[in-house]
Amino acid sequence: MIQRSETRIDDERSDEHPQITQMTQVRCSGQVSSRIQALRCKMKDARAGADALSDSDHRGQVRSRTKNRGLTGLNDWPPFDRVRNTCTIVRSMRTKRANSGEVLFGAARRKILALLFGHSDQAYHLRQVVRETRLSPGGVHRELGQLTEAGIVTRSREGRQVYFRANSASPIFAELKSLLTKTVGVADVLRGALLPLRNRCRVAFIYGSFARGEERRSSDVDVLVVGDVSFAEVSDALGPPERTLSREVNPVVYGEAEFRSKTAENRMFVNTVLREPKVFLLGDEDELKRVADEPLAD
Amino acid sequence: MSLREWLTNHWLIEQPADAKEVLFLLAISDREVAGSGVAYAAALQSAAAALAACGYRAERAGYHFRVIDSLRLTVGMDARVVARLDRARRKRNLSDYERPDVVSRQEADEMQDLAQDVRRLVGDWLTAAHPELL
Repeated sequence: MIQRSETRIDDERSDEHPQITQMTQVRCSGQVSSRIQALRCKMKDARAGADALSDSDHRGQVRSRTKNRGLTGLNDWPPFDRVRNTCTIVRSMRTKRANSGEVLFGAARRKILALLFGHSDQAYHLRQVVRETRLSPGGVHRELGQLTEAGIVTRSREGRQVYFRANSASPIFAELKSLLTKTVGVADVLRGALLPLRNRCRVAFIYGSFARGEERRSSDVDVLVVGDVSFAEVSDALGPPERTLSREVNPVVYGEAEFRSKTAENRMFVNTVLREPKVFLLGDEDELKRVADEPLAD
Repeated sequence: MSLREWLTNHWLIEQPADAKEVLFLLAISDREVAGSGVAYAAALQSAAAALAACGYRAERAGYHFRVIDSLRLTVGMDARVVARLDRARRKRNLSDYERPDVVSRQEADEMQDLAQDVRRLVGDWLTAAHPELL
């Protein structure tokens, strides 16, 4: 897990000026002003140094170092203050987590597998896959060819159309589907959506048909959230994923105390959900046990 | 989309705006909000009153979905708030047909507040846009 706070340049200039991006990737708690001050001095020194250069070889070195970035010299970099004052730098304090889906699969394969295994009872023709994944037709064609050859995806022809779908007869279908659901599929999308609420959520998980791996084309995704968050907040957070996944997402939101009391009272819904398979989005099984077992306040 | 286009899609039925009907629907909404009724039902009746004031009622197929969704087009409700109401609609279906205790106390309380907000919004809108119906 990589933890870092970063300040990023929120437009195409981040590619143009990697130096600035790199320089601004600093911890933002308390150290910001002193680091920015130090960076300003460095920029000033570097510019002064470049201006003072009379040796043409040295200038050549500066040019060659900056040529690849589309710049001709240090003076071409925009002054740091100007970039900052025109609001092109947006500070985003967030924890970057290593995504297991990204580590396991390449970007194109990840998107294709997420689509086909996320709707495993549905067949897609090539153009549909291209449209849904926003990948290039060539890339999709190549990936689907390899996946078909490996028996992970089936290819069938109906009239003039060729359709692709997740191969449910594959010996690794169940394992792969479960893995994809947890890493790059539905769970990953929902996890990302709920991440901004993580400080106030003890646990959040998928239950029901999706968690059991028995979902159908029309299945909703059932999500249970326990924590100090409102239904409105969770509902708003889950709006975009619904559109991404083309599935309805139905959250149930409990405050900790209510969840605990319902567990203690053996309420049917909560107890059924607790017994059923779950795919955790925030927290884990241990945290869920702790939430359920903590003594009730008077 | 507009309500006129919804009519073309056969999602609505045109009818003359009737003050009696609007007031009747608002009265049901008030009763549900104030009493022990379901908050969602109150919001639904408020939305139906706004639709009736525009001279429409929803077709039976997809009635609840359509009436809730029409709040965007009648009183100009924020799409996120409409989405919350729609989730409450789905929750009602779940609660009626699959899992009776799927609604948490916290959600019921929030829904109560939301229903009151919808009632207030529709009331204000009627006062401004259709005072002749009140």
